[in-house]
Amino acid sequence: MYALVDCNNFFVSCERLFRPGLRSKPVAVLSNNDGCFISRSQEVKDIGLPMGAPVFKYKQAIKANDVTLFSANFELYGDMSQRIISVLRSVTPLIEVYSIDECFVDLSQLAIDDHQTWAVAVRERIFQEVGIPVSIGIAPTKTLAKVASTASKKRGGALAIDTDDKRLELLQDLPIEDIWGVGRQLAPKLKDKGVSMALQLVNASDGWLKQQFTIVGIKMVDELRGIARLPFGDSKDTRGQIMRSRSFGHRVRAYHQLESAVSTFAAQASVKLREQNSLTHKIVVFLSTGKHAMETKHASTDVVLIEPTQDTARIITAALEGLHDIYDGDFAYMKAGVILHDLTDIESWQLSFMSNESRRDERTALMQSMDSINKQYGTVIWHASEKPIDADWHSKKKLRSPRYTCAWDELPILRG
Amino acid sequence: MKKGSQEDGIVYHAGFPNAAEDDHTTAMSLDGLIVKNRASTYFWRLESGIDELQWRPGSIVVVDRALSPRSGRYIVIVVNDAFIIGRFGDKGFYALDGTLQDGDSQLWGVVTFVIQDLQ
Repeated sequence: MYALVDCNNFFVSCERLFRPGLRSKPVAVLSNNDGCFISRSQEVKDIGLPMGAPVFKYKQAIKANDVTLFSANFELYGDMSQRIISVLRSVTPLIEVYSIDECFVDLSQLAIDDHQTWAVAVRERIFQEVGIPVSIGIAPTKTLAKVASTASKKRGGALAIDTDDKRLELLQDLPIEDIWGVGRQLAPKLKDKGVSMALQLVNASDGWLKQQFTIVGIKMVDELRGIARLPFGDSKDTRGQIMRSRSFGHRVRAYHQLESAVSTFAAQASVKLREQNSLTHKIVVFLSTGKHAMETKHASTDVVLIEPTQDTARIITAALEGLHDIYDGDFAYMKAGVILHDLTDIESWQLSFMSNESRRDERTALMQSMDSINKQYGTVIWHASEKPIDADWHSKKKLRSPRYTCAWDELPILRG
Repeated sequence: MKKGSQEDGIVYHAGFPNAAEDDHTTAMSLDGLIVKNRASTYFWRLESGIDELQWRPGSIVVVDRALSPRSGRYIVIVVNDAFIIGRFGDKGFYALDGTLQDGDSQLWGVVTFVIQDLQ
């Protein structure tokens, strides 16, 4: 079984945690140049301000309804996201961070009596400890977990699809355009053929499905049928891996020499990583005695990062942590190396930031409207200390709240 | 076996000795003392001092949301749109002057440390 933990109106919820007076009031968060809506409270959705829509078109409605607007505060949101991830990691290491506000959890290694009860408990724990409301959907496949989490929003925020009856009941009420992976172009085509609900897809014959869909579409239908087809922990496209390693030419036993070699490899790999505009999630370190040693030893370990990075300092720190774990002074080594794994394109990572509330088309429109600023905000989120913030860009974030959890001089204020 | 390998008495003589090597894992960190739970620990700034507690203005108040308050513990309470320091008591949340807060007030977290600049 898989769980999808999905933060409700995430950016708005982050703002409200430090502005309790805004609870139950209309609140929206805007893209970097304050151009369009990227997160909306339920009240704003009810008013009818669309996701990704340009703010200037809705000036009147914003004023009439007294909507509180914020410029995006990605440092705050990133920190809050990490807090939620670390709560989940304390439950199980088998998690897949899908986006800044969505996380899949593989429940197969956990002893859970009742999935519904488990979902309620985890939801309450995240709310108490971090302060952010989440929705949790549990199901035998990732696609169904997504269906469950969406449906849970109207049922108290926790829903487990743990019987076939529950699955069919949900699919009966699920319009095809709301299925994860069905684009806006596919939905009208299916509707022309009389298919408007997910249940119809699930009940369709395999022959008919093969005529309508590519392999990807058939996988999706299988997932709706409860047969897992999507890999876990691998939802981002990768560009392979970056490896830097070397044979020393003589045997090395001293820890500090290996430390220096591993640091160098890590730094070289980081340069390559930045050149190709990627982030790494996982750093592998290995040591080898070579096969001609009296006693051979090959050791490797991986260090998984809470947040992906391209920061040299963080990558070196993680690599040295890995070296520390595998080093065995009884052996003399011929070779060491560092591999950066689980690479994510920096822009697709940013794109996934927007994924929760918007459908793919809206997301594309959104990214286009954010255009050139993208790159800069990537650097601001992930290594604020490395690069100076462009002054002109900075001035556009007029409505940004304090970075409450990320800057000592912007802490929230407490009175006696 | 970990680096340095002092446990088994072997001393390595390869390369230039690194005097800082042994500090690698033993450096103390205030986080280890103050941040017991990274997910639920938040820092707050005390706007004005609280004389009766000798908390200076500008002090940093450390709050852990994961804790359940016990009687007498300092807490952060939400009152309207503001956050105030209070104490947890038998009947609920009390402001520092001893007044019981009404039912609309909410618990935000439990105070664990106050960090003051004494310079």
